Amino acid sequence: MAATDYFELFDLPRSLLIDADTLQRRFHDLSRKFHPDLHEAAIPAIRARLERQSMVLNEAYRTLREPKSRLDYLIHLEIGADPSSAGSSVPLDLFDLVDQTHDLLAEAAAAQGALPDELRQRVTTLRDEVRAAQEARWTEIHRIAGEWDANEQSFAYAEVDADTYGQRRQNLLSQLRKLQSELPYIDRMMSNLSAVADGGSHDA
Amino acid sequence: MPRIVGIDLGTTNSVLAVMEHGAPSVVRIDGQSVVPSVVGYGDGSPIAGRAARNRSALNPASTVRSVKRLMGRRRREATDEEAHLPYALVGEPDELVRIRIGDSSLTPSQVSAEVLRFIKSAGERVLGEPITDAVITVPAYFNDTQRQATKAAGRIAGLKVRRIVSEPTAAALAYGLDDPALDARVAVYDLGGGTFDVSILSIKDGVFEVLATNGNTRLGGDDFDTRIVEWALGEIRRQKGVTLSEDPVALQRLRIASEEAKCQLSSALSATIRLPFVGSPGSEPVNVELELTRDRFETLIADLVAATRRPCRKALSDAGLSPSDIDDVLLVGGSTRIPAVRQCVRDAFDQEPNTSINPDEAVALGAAIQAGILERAVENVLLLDVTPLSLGIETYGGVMSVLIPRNTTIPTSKSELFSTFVDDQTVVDIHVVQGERELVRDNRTLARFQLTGIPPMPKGVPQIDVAFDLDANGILNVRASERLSRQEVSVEVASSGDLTEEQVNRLVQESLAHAEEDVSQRMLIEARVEARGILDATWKALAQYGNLIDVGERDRIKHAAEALEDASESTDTHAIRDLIDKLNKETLHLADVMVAAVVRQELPRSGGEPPSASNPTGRVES
Repeated sequence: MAATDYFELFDLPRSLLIDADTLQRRFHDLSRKFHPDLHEAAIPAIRARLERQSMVLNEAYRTLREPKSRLDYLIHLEIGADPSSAGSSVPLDLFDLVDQTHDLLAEAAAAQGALPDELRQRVTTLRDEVRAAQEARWTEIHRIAGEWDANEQSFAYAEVDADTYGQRRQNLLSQLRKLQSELPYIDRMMSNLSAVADGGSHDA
Repeated sequence: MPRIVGIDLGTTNSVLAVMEHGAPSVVRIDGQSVVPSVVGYGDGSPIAGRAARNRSALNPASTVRSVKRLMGRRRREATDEEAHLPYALVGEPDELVRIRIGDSSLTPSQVSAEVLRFIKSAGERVLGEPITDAVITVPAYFNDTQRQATKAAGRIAGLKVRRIVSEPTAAALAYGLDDPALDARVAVYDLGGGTFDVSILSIKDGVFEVLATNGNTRLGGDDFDTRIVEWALGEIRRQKGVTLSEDPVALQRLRIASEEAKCQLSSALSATIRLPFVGSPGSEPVNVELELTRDRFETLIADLVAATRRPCRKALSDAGLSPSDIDDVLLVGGSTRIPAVRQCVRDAFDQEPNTSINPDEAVALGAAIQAGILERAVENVLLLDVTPLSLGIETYGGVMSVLIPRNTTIPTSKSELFSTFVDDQTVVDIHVVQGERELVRDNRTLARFQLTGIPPMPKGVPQIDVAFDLDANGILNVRASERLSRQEVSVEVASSGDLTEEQVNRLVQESLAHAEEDVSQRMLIEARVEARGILDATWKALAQYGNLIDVGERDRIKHAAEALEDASESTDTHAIRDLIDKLNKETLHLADVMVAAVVRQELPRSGGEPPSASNPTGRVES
């Protein structure tokens, strides 16, 4: 079972910076090729295979469309690691935030009934802090993505030797890997704090 | 081959449509574009449509209306429904519900089949051609069981259901078909007689891509009628001192009058409910005349209308969009004529809704378009639908582990590794569930099966690969295998409607016998039609791609095709079937080669080299 490289499937370079319109257009073109609805009259074996291909295509589109799953996928392709294998200890840079969140959530849980205004205020403030941390991570990912593309390009134009290219690549990947391992913690803090901050309304 | 028709099988009304010279059009039955989804059971054969609705006031207990609300429901899920139904429901709490008619009980699929049968035969008279194949629409938020029950209804009615399509999606097709350059994001707000759906679509390059869908399969015009009925019963008790709630005939008359008042209130500010000479047993008949203002009506239904807001918000957030990203909001379903509902849509999407499409016909027209796509009568349009509810399996502690999240584009496949919880476990239960809740018991069971024969190993060591395949029809196949021992089991979660596959087959046979049709003759015709289709496809494939395979293989395929050509002249259904299978087998490799060519984006006209074995992108996963 040779897995399809999703970037290759869409004829895109292996990059974190993908033009959404291009991706969608190629997805539509390929859908027109594979989708079983357009092959109702084909022999069953072909329909079955095209359907299988359609499944891969849909999964590929879903994966590359979202920045987070695109990041996970690129890292998976490059070093075969999945986000879940990132280790279970809290990333060092997040230790303080995770600690504060933990304490504040415990405090909120202990407060029965409606949250006192003062406590809600602290929850909201911490959430803003976590959100800022989240945005900072994504800005950083974006910056690395740019460097990644530049590195690929200089290698393609033979501006750097293979060793330098390879080292830069490894370096960028390990930076990405670190950010990737931090994101789930940040996301979880965000959703837990939001649930408490917006508590009472079930529409969160 | 006759056309595939499109059918909107609605809670209150149903509509038939076909493609006519490249455009969808509604088939008028008895001069009307809609057929009431009502079935009357009497002494003779069941009657359906307008005739059944007309006699419903007189025979409430033997007239079935709004059966769609019962499709694929368990008895215990129908209890709040039951209070407002003039007929009785039967069945154990966890069984799928049945409807008592006289001495017998019927499944909702059987009742729906009567509506479809009526549409089929009336439509055949109007069109002057047989109706054999159909695309049928269902609420987007219908779960798998409800979809299967709808499919079963089609089959019982003698229809080959080629596709089940979501109603709002169909409506969007009808809206966007005429403009190939359309580039828009639309929301479809579909409030019908019994169900509410909201779908968000992106339309671009002729591809209709559903981004998210949400809804409530128990919210619609019927509930508005019920609110009026409850209000009127209170008024009648207060004004006349009469309690009508025990009298089924009076109740049915009140329900019909309430529905009429509701419709009037969409244009008038006030409506009158008139019921001359109604009475309850043991009391003098009274004349009822009640004035219902639009204000009062809006107060009565305010919470129901407001309940559509949350699904709208959730659909938008699942699609990652905000109201200002939506270019057009389409209104579908009769209940969207209600001014209060329109105001709610305005508030939810922060814009004036588009009322250019016909709310009663758009869904059926869209079903006809999807039929046209399948038979290539409609070019350049493609619909990419999603699965409305998450699919997964039960894991330790009764928790649902999601494999396919809601709003995933279909077809899709997903697999995940699981393991055992105790040492030396040799059997694993695979419990397939659908729904959004964390705990399995709050979701719906689609299937249960076991993977057996796992060699004894410490817990956590076996690698159990569970794979879900969801095809373009929304049919789920689940495969479970243990990697080390290569034990495997697979199940098609297909016949989980209210009837088993066997029961449906028997009903189909019975209905054919009733129609005095020759079953074997019909099977022969079906086999011949299928053979014709496969032969055409095979000859075409050989002509286009024959140069990609070796001579020997080409000859074997030709032989098999010629044998099938010969057999389909005969009346031997078995032989035709066998040869169809044989030809299918012979073309397996050709199919691989062709698909590889398509995947590599080599168009047949470019000649194309034989696929090289080392090209990894040419491989199709299997």
